[in-house]
Formats: sequence, structure tokens, C-alpha cells
Amino acid sequence: MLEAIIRDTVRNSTPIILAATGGLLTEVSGWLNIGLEGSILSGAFFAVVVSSATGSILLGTLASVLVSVILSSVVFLTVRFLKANLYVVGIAANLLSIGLTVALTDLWFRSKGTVVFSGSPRPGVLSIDFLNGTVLGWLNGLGLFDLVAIVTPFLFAYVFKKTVVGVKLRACGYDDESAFYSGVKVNRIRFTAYIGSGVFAGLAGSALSLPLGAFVSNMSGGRGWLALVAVIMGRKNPILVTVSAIMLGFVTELSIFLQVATEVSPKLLLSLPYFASFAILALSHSGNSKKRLLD
Amino acid sequence: MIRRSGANGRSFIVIALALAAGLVLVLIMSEEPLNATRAFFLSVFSNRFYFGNLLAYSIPLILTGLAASFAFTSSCFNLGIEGQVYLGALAGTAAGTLLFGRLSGVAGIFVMIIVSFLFGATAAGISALLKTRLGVNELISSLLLSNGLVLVVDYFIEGPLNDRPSGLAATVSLPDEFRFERLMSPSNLHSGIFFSIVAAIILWFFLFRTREGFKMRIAGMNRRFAYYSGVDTKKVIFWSLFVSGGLASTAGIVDVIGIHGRVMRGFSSGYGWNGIAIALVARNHPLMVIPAALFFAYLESGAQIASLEANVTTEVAKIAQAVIFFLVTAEALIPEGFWRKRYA
Amino acid sequence: MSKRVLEITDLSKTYNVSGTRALDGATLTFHSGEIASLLGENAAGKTTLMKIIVGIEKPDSGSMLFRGDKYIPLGPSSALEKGIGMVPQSLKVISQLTVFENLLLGFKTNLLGGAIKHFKERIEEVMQRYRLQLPLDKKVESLSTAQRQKLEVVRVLQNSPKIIIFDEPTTLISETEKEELFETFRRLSAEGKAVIFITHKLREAYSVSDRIYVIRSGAIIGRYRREETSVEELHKLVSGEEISTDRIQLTSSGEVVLRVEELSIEGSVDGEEAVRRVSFEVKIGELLAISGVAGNGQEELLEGIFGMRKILSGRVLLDGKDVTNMSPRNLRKLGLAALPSDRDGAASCKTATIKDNLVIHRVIDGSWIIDDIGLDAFARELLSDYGVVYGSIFDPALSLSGGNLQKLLLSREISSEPIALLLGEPSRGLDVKHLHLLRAVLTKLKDEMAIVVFTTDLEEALKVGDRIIVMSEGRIVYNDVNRPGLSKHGIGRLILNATGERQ
Repeated sequence: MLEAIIRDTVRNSTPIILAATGGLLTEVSGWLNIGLEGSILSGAFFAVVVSSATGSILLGTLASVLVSVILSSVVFLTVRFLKANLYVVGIAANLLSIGLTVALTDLWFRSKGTVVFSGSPRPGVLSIDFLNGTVLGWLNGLGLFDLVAIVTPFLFAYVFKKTVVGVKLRACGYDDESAFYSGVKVNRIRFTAYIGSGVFAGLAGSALSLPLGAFVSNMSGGRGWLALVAVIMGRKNPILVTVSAIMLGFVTELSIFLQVATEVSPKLLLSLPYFASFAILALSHSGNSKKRLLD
Repeated sequence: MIRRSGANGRSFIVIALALAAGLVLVLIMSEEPLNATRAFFLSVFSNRFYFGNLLAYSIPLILTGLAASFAFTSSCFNLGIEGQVYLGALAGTAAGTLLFGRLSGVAGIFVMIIVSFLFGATAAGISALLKTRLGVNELISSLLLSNGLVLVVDYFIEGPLNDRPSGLAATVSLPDEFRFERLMSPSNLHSGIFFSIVAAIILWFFLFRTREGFKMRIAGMNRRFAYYSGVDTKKVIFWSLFVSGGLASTAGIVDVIGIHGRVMRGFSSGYGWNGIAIALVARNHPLMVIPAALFFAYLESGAQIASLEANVTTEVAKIAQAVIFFLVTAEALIPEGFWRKRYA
Repeated sequence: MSKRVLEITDLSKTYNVSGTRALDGATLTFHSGEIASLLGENAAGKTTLMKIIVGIEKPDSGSMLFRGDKYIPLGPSSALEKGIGMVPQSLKVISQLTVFENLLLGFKTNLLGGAIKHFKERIEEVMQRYRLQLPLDKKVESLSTAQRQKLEVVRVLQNSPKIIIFDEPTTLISETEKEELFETFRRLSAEGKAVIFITHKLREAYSVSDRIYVIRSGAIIGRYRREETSVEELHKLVSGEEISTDRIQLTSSGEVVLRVEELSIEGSVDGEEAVRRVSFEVKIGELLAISGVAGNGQEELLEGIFGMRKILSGRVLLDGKDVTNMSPRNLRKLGLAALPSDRDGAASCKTATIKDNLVIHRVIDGSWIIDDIGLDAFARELLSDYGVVYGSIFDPALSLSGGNLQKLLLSREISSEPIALLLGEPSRGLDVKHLHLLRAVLTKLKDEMAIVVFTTDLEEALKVGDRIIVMSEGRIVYNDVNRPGLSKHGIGRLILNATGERQ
């Protein structure tokens, strides 16, 4: 029973963890990518469309990643070259994704809501016999994306602290002027961070739609915003970000569970993750009351 | 005054590009391009019904545009406008149904607007307090709260406050006394348009002719400088978000009082994001919000007419709107906090 | 005979925004194995020339030859690659990273493992050779300014440059540390590198250089080997006047307007004290100059008194009233005005109009509805009274040159008719003309209000102050009336006797 809970929490958190990890890259580099929600949505759409059309999970995932990368890159380039406002362009990316996915769903599949791709390939699921019944038993049943989500934060923690590129990345976020002066190609690093966030957002989208084999309108369901909350709460630390993401994933999982298990209105339950993350966000800042707000 | 508002050739370039984007999309997505283009761009002027609806649609957009620009003026992001609009509509309507029989028409409408204002203002005010007391990023907190509120309002509309006999996903209707007068029948245009315009004028006067408005604008340009010069920046931030939330709510209730008569599920979807885009195009200047809102209403009307008459999906307007968002802050908004450094 | 390593010919540059002609046909040559000084007052053109040498700015005309070849740098990192490194005036080190991590930033590739070890060894070798040892794994935020400067030098040296430029390196460090720095200069030049020492400190330039170039109004007006000239001759060239030993005359002391008692003020880390139990008085008629090496609490002291930083203990009394920890708003109402040293960030709003910058205090204290016409007139009158050069009062403040902005800010504070005025680094970056104006204004004003000038330039303090206070590590180590015959070194000796530490 406990095993099932752990497994389901991880599964539910996976898209959030993946998106948050990607978002973390941009946060550490100094230019937070607000457009995660839109990238996840677009990624989810193209993942399932391409994978069912080609019969290949790999191609579907690649398509999802590609689309998200393009979206994130457009955001970055607009901010960098047109000197546009970072937050506004991120919001624009989200709006664009909503409009695009609905428009394409209508155009290609004559539907305004859900599109089921029967026969689309589903990602494999871990099944190592000797793990059953052990402490790590919950690993069985997890898909590829879930495993990536578990491993990546540790990888990032290492990269940030122990590699040259990690130091440069952090430098950009701490003091970009000094970093540039010291020879760090700040724009190139930030662009790479954006591409990275696109990759992970794409993976998050694939993780959402591929196991289901369907696309639901507005499928990302606020997970991009929850990922941003996790990034902020994690204060540039990959492990903390992941813990926050799992917490938020758990809340989402809880709301879904309650929808099935209780009579409470589904709408109220759906609002639970938002209010909960709002509260969690507020609480995580509660140590700040002494700081003078000048800025 | 135009010069001081910051609106300049750039705003017009953006509008031109948005129109071009809309045109391209319409051509791509329609099977009858000529008909669709005519429907999208011109039909709206062809009769009183369409044109009146255009004006009617601009009414809430002016208000959400004012809401967004008021927050932006002090360099704050109120992303909770969508939820505040919806919440305000519900709260105001609920007040209206309770007041029926106790207050005359005009007084009743007045109270409904006030109640609605307070609900949205409180929602935004919570984010504001979190920002000034705890340093919580208001962009995310207002958005999270708003997303949650939308769902809660949905619940009320489908559940406790639902108008069961009608079978609709909507609340009980307001009595006729509590409705705005129609102005250009058979269109939706109603006397609420005066409310919107007056609100814009009041806001303009406040920001540019009063001491407190001056403080707010300076705080938005350089918070440290404002503080050192004696401005209570925490107060400024709070009030700017508080009023912003309140204005947003009035957009919701004004639509209900003027057009629908009841809160229908999802009726205000998009008002918030449009409002933000309007504020950006108008460079946060209250009087410029009016033509900007009209422009957005124009886009939206065009999309609807095109979908009616020429089989084009309404997402076209959404995509055109997103394009505007991308372009509209090119070369940065004026507030100093938004400047980006150059790396040669 | 040392080789010519950098030849600069006829460099000119005009800045479009302010219309200033920063460089006017500057021509000079640097030689390997020599310490050369570029000596000039503020705004004489040294900063611009140096920016062009490292590629931050492009000249309008003229050329440069580096070791005989045409030299067109694209930016500081490109210049460094080619062999010209600069230690900037405001140190570009990242405090949240360690010493080693900061040095890694210049690393070309992004590899890990073996390459890093090799790099570490090279760094340690460089530090050893030039006696610039630093703890590699310590975070920079815990290092002193002089140590951070050493880090910058190491950062430049790891690329084996032929030329190293030091931009005003002595403004932020103590006398002992200066001696260490000059030792570093000598070691570098002994190895055949060309050291360029940019400064406005005449005596320092004279004491350490092999060659001295004097720059004024964008042109090189003097080229000497050290033995060919003297301090007096240089002074005449640099400022166009005789060395004056005049001090602003002491006038009779009036009432105490501002008193500070046992004041302790918070630093950048919570609870840490940047100012420790400081006490002094300011009277009308006696201009108080608070000086000392930068970073010893002066800035925090100004901010603390003016309500922009937390006062941990002690009191501030304005005209007898306790105003400790009051907000700037309330302090202004009671008659205290201040101009923080952060001119662009705190004292002005670059994107707002000139008018808005000027009238803000009047608006805040004025009626609910703004009297635009009255404010326009007020602004124009004030600007003309102080001789500020500007286009229209609706132009943004960033269109003003440094000197004019300073005049605007001063006029704003003075026009609010305060009883006490705090000025943070008022002479910084001002050219000679504006410096004289500033001193004249201060002389006139000190009979009307109590004035405190915070300046890290002890010589400037000696020129304008009637009473001098020197701060070190948050404490006052010297507090006495200014007398003719008092000099920087004199004060240094007095402090040494009093505290047992070299200052």
C-alpha cells in the first residue's frame, strides 16, 4: 500500500520535477523561463501526435523536445535581441501554446477537447523481479521518464558544484556583469540554459501524454506554474527543488485521489493544488519578515 | 500628453504587425480566404449589431486593461486578473440577488460594484501583503490564487448558486432593475461603457495630477530612489495591487450587469490576459487603454464573425494576441527595473 | 632599451549622449619592463582612453599598435587573450564564489578532471611567483578589498599578459596595502611586463613610476621620465594651477544641529556591525568631513543616519529630537536632507524627467493635486540658479552629464532648506571646474546649515572640512579640527600613535 503511494506520487510528480529541473537551469543562470507551462503543453501535444503517427516513442519524445526547445529559444531570443520583458514574453509563450494546441487539435483532428490516439505506443515500465518486496520495490512500475526525473537532480547537483560549466552558470546568476568581464560568455550560457529548459519541459510533456496515449485540452493543468513554484522554493538547489516538486506533485495526486474517493466537487478538488502551493510558497518565505523591502 | 504617455511609433508598429499576423492566420486556416478576410477585418463595421457588440466587448477590456496598467505602473505584476474578474462577477451578482427588493436600481448597482471591487481587491491585496511583508513574488502568488479561485467560482456556479430550473451552467439571473440600459439595440452595448470611460479618466487624473499618483509612478521607475526621497514604497505597492484587483473585479460585474444578467461559467475567460496585453500596448497610460481595448475588441470581434460566417476557428484571435505579447515589450517598458543589460 | 609594446596615435572620442569630447587626439607609447603612469584629474579622459585600450569603447578616430601590429580589441576578454589585461577600479569579482571558482571563469574549455588540477597548479605557481597568495577555497565575500584586488591581478596574470593596466587601484586600499601593490608593480615590470598605472594621485604616481604621462581635457600634455620632472611641475600641468596650501578658513562655531551617540549600524550580513559605537557632533558653521579608506563604514553610517539601514544601538539627535531609525520621509520633514553616494541608483531616477527628479520633494510635501505650472517654474529657476546645462526639463535625467547631474541633485537637496545635509562622495567623478563650484557652494552653505561630507579621498576632506573624522573598521580613529599644516601623512602618524596600527 505504501509502495503504491510512493510510486504514484513519483509518477505524478515526474512532469513537475522534469519541468522544474529545466526551470532551475534558467533560474541559476539568472533569467528564469516563465514559459514552462506552455512548453509542457506543446510538448505533450506533439509527443503523442508524432508517436502515434510514427509508432515510435523515441520519435514522439524527440518531437516534443524539439518543439519545446524552439519555443524556449524564441522566448530567449525575443528577450535578448528585442530587449523585451522576460516575464511578459514568457506569458506570451504560454498563451501561444494554448492557442496553437487548440487550433491544431481542431484543424487536424476536428476536435475541441480530447483526442484519443488508440494504438499509440506506450512507454515501457520497469520490471525487475528481485526488487519486488524490497525497500526499493516501488521502483517497479515506474516508466522511463520517472527514472530520468529521479536521477537528473543529483546529476545537476554535481554539475553545478564540480564542473567549470557549472561555475560559469552560477556566476551568470550571481553577478552577470562581473562574469562577462571575467570572460564568461553570458549570453551563450543563458541560451544553453534555455535550450536545456526546453528539453526538460518537452520531456515533461511527453511524460504526461505518452503514458495516456491521448491529448486533453489544457493538459498541462498548471504543472508548469507548480514547477516554477518549486524552482523558487528550491533556492537554486537541485535537491530542494526536487523535494518541493514532489511535495507539489503529492498535492496534485491527492486532489485526483480525492476526486475518485469522495463526493466533494471535482472543481474544488482541482483547486487544491493551487491553494496548497500558494500556501506553501507563502510559508517558505516566512523567515523573511525581518528583511527591509526596498526593492 | 501623447508624448508623455510614452506611446509612440512603436505601439503602432506592434498593432500593424498584429493585424498582419491575424491576416496571415486567417488566410491559412480558412477554406474561403477572401470571405474570411472580409469577415475578420471589415464586417464588424458593416452594421449596428456587430459594431455595437464591438463596443460592448471593449467595456470589460478597458477595465482589465486599467487594472493591469495600474499594477504595472508601480512595477508589480498582477497576474491574477482572470480570477479576480470571475470572482468579482460572482460576488457582485450574489450581492445583487440578496439586495433585490431592498434597494432601488441605481443604488443596487452601486452596491454590487462596490462589493465586487472589494472581493477582487482583497484577493490581490493578499498577494500584495505577501510581497511587502515576506518578499513573495507577486507574479506567481497572484496567478496561483487566481487559478484556484476560478475553479472555486466554477464550483459555486455549478453547485450552490446554480440556477437549477434553467439547466445552464450559470447562476440565478439578476432582476431587471439591476441591469444597465441597452444603448444600441439589438447589440449588447450598454450604459456600462460610461463607467469604463469614467474609470479611465479618474485613473489618469490620479496618476498624473495628484501627489499620490506621482509617488506611485516614481516608485515604479526606481524603488530605491522613491524610498530615499520619502515615499512609503510598501504602501504604494499594496494600494497599487489592491486597486488593480478591484478594477479587475468590476470588469466582471459590469459584464454581468450589462450583458448576461447572470454569471455564466467561463464568460470572462481571456479578459485577464487581454487586459495585460492592452496595458502593454497602451504603455500603462490610462487614457491610451481605451483605444487599445477597442483594438483588442476589434480583433476578438473579427475572430468571432469570421468563425460565424467563414468557418474559421476563434483560436486565431488568441494566436494574434500572443504575437502581440511577444512584440509589445520590444525595447523594454519604461520602468527602470525592467532594463536588460547589453553584452556586446 | 625597452621595447615599445603599445603605441597609441591620435585617439579621439566624443560621447553622443552628452556631447562631451572625452579624447582629443591622444598620443602616447608604453614600453615593456616599465611602470608608466597615466596621470590626470577626474574626467580628464583617462577612463575613456583605458576603455578604448581594452575594447569596451571604440574610438572615433586614431589607431593603436600592439607589438608592432594593428590592434583592435573587441572587449576585455578579447584584449586579455591578445595580451593586455586590466584590473578595473570597481572589482569584478563574484562574492558568492570562491577564489578558485572566480579564476575558473576565465577558463577556455568546460572540461573537468585532469585539466582542472593542472590549472590549479598553474594558479599556485603564479601566486607564488608574484607574492599574491590567496586562500583558494575561501568565498570572496570574506576577503578584504586589497585581497580581492590581488585576485583580479592573478586572474589577469594567468593569461601571461604583456601589459597590465591598473585603473585607480589605490582608492580603496590602506597605505600598507598600497606599498604591497607597488611592490607587485616592480615585480611585474622586472619580468618585462609593461605596467600602466592610471591615477589622479600625483605623489603616488611620482613615487612609483618610471615614466609619467599627464592627460588633461582628452589630450596628452606631458610626457616625462621620472627623473626629468618634479611634483610641483606635474601639479601645474595636471590642474593648470599652482599647488595651493590654502584651506577653507575656519569660521566661528554655531549651535549643534546633529548629534550621533554611540551609534552602531548593521552591515550587509544580519547582525554584523559595519559601524561600531560612533559618536560625533555637527555644528552650523563647521563642515564635518568623514573620511577613511573605502569600506570602513562610512557609507553605512550615512545610510544608517538617514533611515536607509538598520541602527542596532545608539541614538541620532536632530536639533535635540531623537530621530533614531526614522524613515527618510520623516527625517526630511524634520529638516535632514541627504545625497547618498549611489547617484544613479538611489539619489536620482535616470529614466524619469529632469523636472520629476527636481520637484519630487516638493510634490511629496505639497498639496494633493499637483500644481504643474508652479513646479515647472520652480524647476527652471533652480536649474538656472545653479547653472545646470540641459535641453528641456522633460528630458530624462540620463541625458545630463555627471557634473550637471550632481549640480541638479545638490540644488534639489539645498532647495528643501534643510537644517542638516549629508553628502555622500560629492566630489567623485567631478572635473576641476565643478569641483571648484562644489567647494564654493559648500563654503557658502555651511553658515546656514550643518554639513557632513563623506569622502574616501582624504585630500579632498582636508580641503573642504573644518573638522576631520577618519573611520577604520567601523570606528572613529581620528576626530579633530582641521589645521593648516595637517597632511594625509600627518594624520596617518597620529592614528598610528593612537591605535598602534598603521593606517
